[in-house]
Formats: sequence, structure tokens, C-alpha cells
Amino acid sequence: MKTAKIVSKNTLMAAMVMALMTTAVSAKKKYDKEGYFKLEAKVQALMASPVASAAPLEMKFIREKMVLAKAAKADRKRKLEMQITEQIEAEIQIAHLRSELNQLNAELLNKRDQVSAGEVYLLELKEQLK
Amino acid sequence: MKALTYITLIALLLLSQIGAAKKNLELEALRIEYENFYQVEKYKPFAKNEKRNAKEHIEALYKSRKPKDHEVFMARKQLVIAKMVAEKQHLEAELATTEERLEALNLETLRVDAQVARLQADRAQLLLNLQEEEVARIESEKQAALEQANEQIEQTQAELEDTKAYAKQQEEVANLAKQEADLAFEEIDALKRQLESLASRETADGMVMTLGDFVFDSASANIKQGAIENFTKVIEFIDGYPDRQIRVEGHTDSSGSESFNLNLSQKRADAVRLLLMNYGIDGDRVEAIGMGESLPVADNATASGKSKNRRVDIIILNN
Repeated sequence: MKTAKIVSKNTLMAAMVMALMTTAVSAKKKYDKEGYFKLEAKVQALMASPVASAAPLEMKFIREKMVLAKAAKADRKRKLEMQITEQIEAEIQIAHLRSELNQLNAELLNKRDQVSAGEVYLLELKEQLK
Repeated sequence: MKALTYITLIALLLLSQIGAAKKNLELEALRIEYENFYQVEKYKPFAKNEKRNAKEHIEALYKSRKPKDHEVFMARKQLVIAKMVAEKQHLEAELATTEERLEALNLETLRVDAQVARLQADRAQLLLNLQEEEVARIESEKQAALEQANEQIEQTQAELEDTKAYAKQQEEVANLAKQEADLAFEEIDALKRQLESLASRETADGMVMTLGDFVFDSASANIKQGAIENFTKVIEFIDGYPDRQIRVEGHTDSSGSESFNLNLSQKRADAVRLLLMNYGIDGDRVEAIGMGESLPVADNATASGKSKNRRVDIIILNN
């Protein structure tokens, strides 16, 4: 009985601590009423950009999470909405990075091709000098 | 009721313990993934902020007693972002190195290209020089051939001129010869006429027929061929007196020395005697005497007189 009370007390304490931590996190990030719409506009712009074709998997995640964010907003689940928004922001950042990586890889391949072609041409020129 | 509450609480606790264990495994996997990424040599200089950020997220999860799914998700995403940024910066560095290499290669190519171009230009110049020399040689040969042809043409023209001149000369010679022949014919005709018109006259010594100096070549004892061939009249004259002796007397004018004239007159008389013999007259019947300038028949002071004095008299002697 005594043990059960202690456990119960500990559980309550843990719950209170978690509640406080959640409150503290929530206090760190202020809820923006227009946040969802801003993000929606941002996602639409992203979908219209070359990034969309460069990072199709990330775009799929973003679209799915946008549906969840919309639902959270409709249900007025602000915390969930903020979390999903944060996740979408991270996915957007990753999509941008994916696109940049693709571009850099392509550029690097192109440069390496140029170097190879240049080396062959230089070799031919040097042959002519012999 | 209380027992049910306890059971529920215990079940919740167990469930939370299972969930926590699952999260712990996920966290461990995340930590290992981070450690592995952190150890990758090529990414070491890059994405330092992102690495720190990912590490802080993972450490925060470890510190948290009950990390939320969202926090785990965000920690994972931070690690992904750190990896991608590291890869991006690595690619950028590679790109920069490759660009430097390409730039150096392009510079080297330009330098070698210039050398090749210079070499090709030198070769082209050399080829051009050779071609020019070849053209000059061909032109020189053509010029030489042309000069040779001109020389041949000139030579041929000169030869033609010479031939023409020679032909003209030959024509002139032929004309002269013709003229001379004409003259000779005329002379022969004249001689023939003179010989045919010869007349004899009666003298104390006998019948005399006088041959003028036209019968002989000038200052010579040679009887002209025309006279020899037309001597018929003289022969007929002589044949009219077959039994008589004949005396042939040579005479000259007074020009020149007396001995020369005497000698010339003798030679002319001998020549006539010989001619008569050739015509069949017996040599014993004929006597030839050179009288020189001793018996002129005309005045030696005039040309006409001298002409008359240069003569040969054929005398059919009276028996």
C-alpha cells in the first residue's frame, strides 16, 4: 500500500515534470496563427520549383505531413500542428539540400568529364609536339 | 477497485517501460549512426555546426527520461541534415579542386596549344617557302625554256634570213649569169655575124681575110669559143683554094712593149693555125708568123685605129 502510494506519487511527479517541460518547450516556441498558411505557401512555391523533381521522396513526406498539419489546425491541436510544421520545415530543408546535392554531383561529373576530355586533348597536343 | 487501479497503473508502467526500451534502441541506433558519420574521414572538416546541432539533439534525447517521437524524429532529421550538409560541403570542395585542376589544365592546354600553333605556323611557313622555291624553280625553267625557244626562233629566223639572202644572192647570181649568158649569146651572135660578114680582099701576096681582135680574149691568145664554133666562113674561104699555102700573120697595136706585142701576135697566129688544123686543114699548108706592131693598117693614136691594128690576117698565098 505504501509502495503503491510512493509509485503513484512518483508517477504524478513525473507527469508534472513532463507537463512543466512541455510548457517550457511551448513557451520557447510561440504559436503563430498564420504559420500553417505561410508554410502552405512555402510548400506550394517549393512544388513549383526544380527542387520538387530533384527530391520526390521528401516532397511526398511533405505533402503527407501537410495533410496532417491541416487536420491538426482544424482540430485546434496547436502543439501537434507546431510539431508537424517543424518536421515539414526540416523536410523542406532536406529537399533543398537534396536538390543542391544533385546539382553539385551533376556539376562535379561535368567538371570531371571536362578534365578527362582536357587531359586527352592535352595528350594529343603533346603528341603533336614530338 | 483499488486492485484494478493498481493493475492498470502497473500495466501502464510496463507499457511505458516497453516504449522506453524501444526508444532506447532507436536512440542507440541514432547515436551509432552519428558516431559512424562523425568518423568518416572525408566529412571531418565539414558541417561542424550541423554536427554539433545533431549531437545536441541526440544528447538531449539521452538526457530526457521519456523522449517524444517528435524529438527523436527531429534528432534524426538533424543528423540527416548534418550528413547532407557535410556531403554538400565535401562536393563543393571537390568541385573547387576539380575547377582548379581544370583551370590549370586549360592553362597548360593553352600553352601547349600555342606551342603547337607556333609549330604548325613554322611548318606552314616552311612549306610555303618550299612551294615558293618550287614555283621559282619552275618559273626559272620556263624562262630558260622560253629563252631557248626564242633563241631557236631567232636562229631559225636568222637562218631563214640567210636562206632568203642566199636565195636572193643566188637569184642575183642567176640573173647575172643569165645576163652574162645573154651577153655571151649576144656576143656570140655578134661574133658569128662578124665572122659571117668577113670578106676577103686581093693583095700582092694573095687573097687575104682579116680576123679582128674580137676573135680573141682581151690581151690574150685564146680564141673565143664562139669564134671557134663559127669559123665556117673562114674554112669555106680556105677550102676555095685547096692547093695553096696559107700564111697566118698576127698583128698588134702599139700599146705595150714591142717584144710583148711580137710575142702576143705570134701566139695569136699560132692559135689560128692550130684551129685551122683542128678543122682539118693540113698543118703543112699553114705558116704562122707574129708581126707585132710592125705593120699597122691604121693610126695607133686613136682607139679606132688601134682596134683595126689588132688583127690576124689569113693569107691564101699566090703560088
